[in-house]
Formats: sequence, C-alpha cells, structure tokens
Amino acid sequence: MDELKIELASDHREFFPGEEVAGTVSWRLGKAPREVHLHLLWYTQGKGDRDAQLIRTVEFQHPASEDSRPFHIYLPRGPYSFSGRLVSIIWGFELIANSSKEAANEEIVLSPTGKEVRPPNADEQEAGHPLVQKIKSWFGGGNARA
Amino acid sequence: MGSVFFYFFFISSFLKVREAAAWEEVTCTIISSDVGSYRGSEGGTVYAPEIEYEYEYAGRTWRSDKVRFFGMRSSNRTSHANFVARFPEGSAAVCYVNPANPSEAVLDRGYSASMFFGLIPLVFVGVGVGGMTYAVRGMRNAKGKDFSPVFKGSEQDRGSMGRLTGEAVPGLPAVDEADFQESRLKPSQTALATCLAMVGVSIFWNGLVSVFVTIAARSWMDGDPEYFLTFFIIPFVLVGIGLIGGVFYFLLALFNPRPDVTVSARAIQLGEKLRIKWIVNGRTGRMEWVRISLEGTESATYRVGTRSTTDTSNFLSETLFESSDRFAMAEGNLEVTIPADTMHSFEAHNNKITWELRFHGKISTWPDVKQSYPITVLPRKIA
Repeated sequence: MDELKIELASDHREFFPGEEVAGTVSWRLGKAPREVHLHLLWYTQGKGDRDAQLIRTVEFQHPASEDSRPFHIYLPRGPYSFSGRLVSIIWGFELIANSSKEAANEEIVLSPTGKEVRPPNADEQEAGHPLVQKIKSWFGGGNARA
Repeated sequence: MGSVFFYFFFISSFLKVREAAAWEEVTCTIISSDVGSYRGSEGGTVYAPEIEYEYEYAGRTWRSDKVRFFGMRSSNRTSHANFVARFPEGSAAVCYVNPANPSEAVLDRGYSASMFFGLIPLVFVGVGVGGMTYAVRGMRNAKGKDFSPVFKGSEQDRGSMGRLTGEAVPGLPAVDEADFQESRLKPSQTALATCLAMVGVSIFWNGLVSVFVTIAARSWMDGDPEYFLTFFIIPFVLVGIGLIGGVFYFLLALFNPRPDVTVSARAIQLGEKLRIKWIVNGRTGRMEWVRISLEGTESATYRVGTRSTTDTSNFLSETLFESSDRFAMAEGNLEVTIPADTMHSFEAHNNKITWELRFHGKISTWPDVKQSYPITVLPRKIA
C-alpha cells in the first residue's frame, strides 16, 4: 500500500502570516513516481459551494519510489484561517505523487493571533426565516421569536 | 415528475396559444356540434364540447375537431352548452389554420380559465425542489473537517521560497495605489438602479397576471363567472399590487437627501484608523435621526440545480455615529479604528467576507435614506 507523509519541524500547527514553515515529506510507493509535489493551499467549507486556491507548489526532482525530502515554505499574508457562521477558510499542505491515488494532508492555522479568527456569532445556530420560526413554535419546536 | 406534467399540461399548450397568434383566419362550416359526456376520474360525469368543422385551405378541404388548446372537460354542462350554442350545425364560423401545417386548425385560439389546472403540477415541483433544497442544506450544515485532495496536478513554481509580502494573494481583494488615497465612496447600489429593477419586475409580473385577470373579468361580464379562476388569481394580484407599491416607494426615495461620504482610504488594514467625512445634500431637515455604522458580512453562495442562492450573515455591526441634531446629521467627520482581532475582506467565487459603511437616515412617512458604501479591509502588513 502506498504511503505519503508530511511532518512539520515545529510541534505546533499555528503560524503567523509570512512565517517560514519547515518540515520533511516522505513517501513509500509501489511504483517510482515521475512527479511528487507538495502544495500549500486554502479552501472554504460551510454553507457555500467550495472555493479552493493553490498558493505554492514545491516540486521534488528525481523522486525515487521510497524517499524523504526537506522543505521550507514562507506563508503568505493571508487570508487568515477563519471559522464563521457561514464560511470557514482552512489552510493546509497536500503531498501527492502522480503514480499513486493516495495523498497526505496536514492542516495548519494561519493567523496573527495563533488561532483561527472566529467572530462572536460563529457558534449561533442559523435562526432561519422568522415565519418558519413562528410556525415551529406553534408545534413546540424551534427558537420562537417574540 | 411534476415538471413533466407541468410541461405537458401547461407549458406546451401555452406555447401553442402564442404560436397560433400568427395562424390564418379562415371561414369554416360546422359539421356537427354537441356536448359530449365522459366518465370522470372519480366516477362522476364530465362534459366537453364536441365540434367538428370543415374548411378550405390551399386548394384542399380539411376537417378538424380541435376546439381549444387547453383541455376543456369539466362538470359544468351549462357552460359547455352555452359554448356549443355559439356553433350550431351548418353555420359558418371562423377558425384559425396553421399555414405551415394546414391539417392543424383550432376554433378558439385564446387562453382559457381551464388552463389554470395545468399549474397544479407546479405544487409538486415546488415540494420536490423544497425537499431537495432542505436535504442539501442539511448536508452542508455539517461542519466536519473534510480535507480531500484538491489538486492533482502541479502548477509551475519549481520550489522558489520567496516571501509573498506585498504581492497579490488569491483570496485577498486586489488593491492599487489609488485605494490608499483619500477617496469619495460610491454606494453599492444607487436609488435609481433599485427603482429601475423594481419597475422591471413589476412590469413582468403584472403583465403576466393581467392576462388571467382579463379572462376572469370577461367571464363576469359575460354572466358566466369563473369562480375558481377568480379566487386562484387573488394572491397573484395582491403580489402585483405590492410590487406597484414598491415602485412608488423607490420612486419617492429618488427625492431623498443624498449622503456624500469620503474616507481617508478605501483600503485599510486591520487595527488601523479610518477617517470618515460626510455631507448630506438635499433637504437634510427632513431626517429625524442619522446612524452611520461599520458592518462586516459573510456571504455564501450555493447552487441547487440551476438555481443559485446566497446567504449572508453579519459578523460585526458597530455604530460609529448616531444623532438627531440637524447640523450634526448634515455634515461631520469621525475616526474609527478597525478592530485588529477580526477578519479582513475575503473574495472567492462562492464565498466572500465584505465590509461596508452604512448610512441610515430616518424620515417619517417617507422612504428612509439608506446607502451602503463598500470598503476593503486588509490583513495586517507583515513586519
């Protein structure tokens, strides 16, 4: 079975904008790949259709079927990792090899505060349309509004 | 399934009526004319006119028994008898012939009240779409971390390690030098644009509804009222009246005082100060109070089938200025610090985080002054 791995040099996963992230990628594949890439990307999650954006790619030259390589990448200025009521922005690394269907992922947080940005209302349940709430309250459910 | 029935019971006949507007008027002779009776779906008896007629076209004689495009069977025998009485056997009548296919002809090529039954499948379409939408929303509301491989090919970039400070980064709004200069802000939507949009929607809606209002009105004037049609179109007429009211509302808003807002920069970083100046042009004395606020909003767009929906949620709303003093409302300036620990502007195809200044001036018994001015909030610069 193919194995790919991303190991970060630091023991934390939270990084500041512009900070350097270093680590090692390793793989053990049944067949020697032509290409192995490490992607830095962000993607969205939540109510809306997904958006994703590749920010940086590191290509490892002359990869063997079993190998280990160091990497270091400087993170961009943004966007910050974010977790709101409708939209989440998630950063991560992805290691892929063209000879394998497997991939390795490592999620990180990019933020000036060391934590994903979370607005105060992020944990509120979506209230829904006022008329729907009113109907729900007639049947003893939902968050009735005054 | 509802869509299929809707197509066959309404749309296809509706399109035929429109096509027949160009058909040729030909004199025809009524061969036979009677009220036919049939067994109804629930065991009762239903009736429909049975009229056969003959006409000459392109040197040939044709026969047809097509009376209307929309189905006519109903339990109201009297109504059908009255209709048939207009076409006694042996009499001459006018029929409409399709010049592209002369074998196709019709006696009455207009709309009829019975076409409304063709809208019933729409209820099932609505239930189906609503159910699917609810199910998809339920799936989307789950917030598990799903990191499936996103990119399976390489971009260029052979591993250069450069810092991205100051470079354009996908997801962050593009800004240029002008965005950091003092600027007059443009509202996100002008009162005129809103008014024109409302006029367009109102014309479309009321134009469609007026067809059926005319049919209903004629039925009452003819002494053979279409009760079902009359009650059925009431909600549509009420919506149309509401839309007309909306047009007048936005027309009045065109005469409102207009705020002119200038900022020290259209693009500002988190934690930085923004200076705001405003002057209200027009009759500012009509405003009872004014509120200026800073708003941060998430928006998420998702598609279900061909329909696209955008949900929004306000994550920050801060009142910067509020006053009922005439002079303070008419002109002023203030300074606000953008919170450092909140989220900057973000732009992607389906998901956005936007910031704006909102100006709200309350006017009694008149549309309020409401304008929104987009600004760009950037992440803090990397030291």
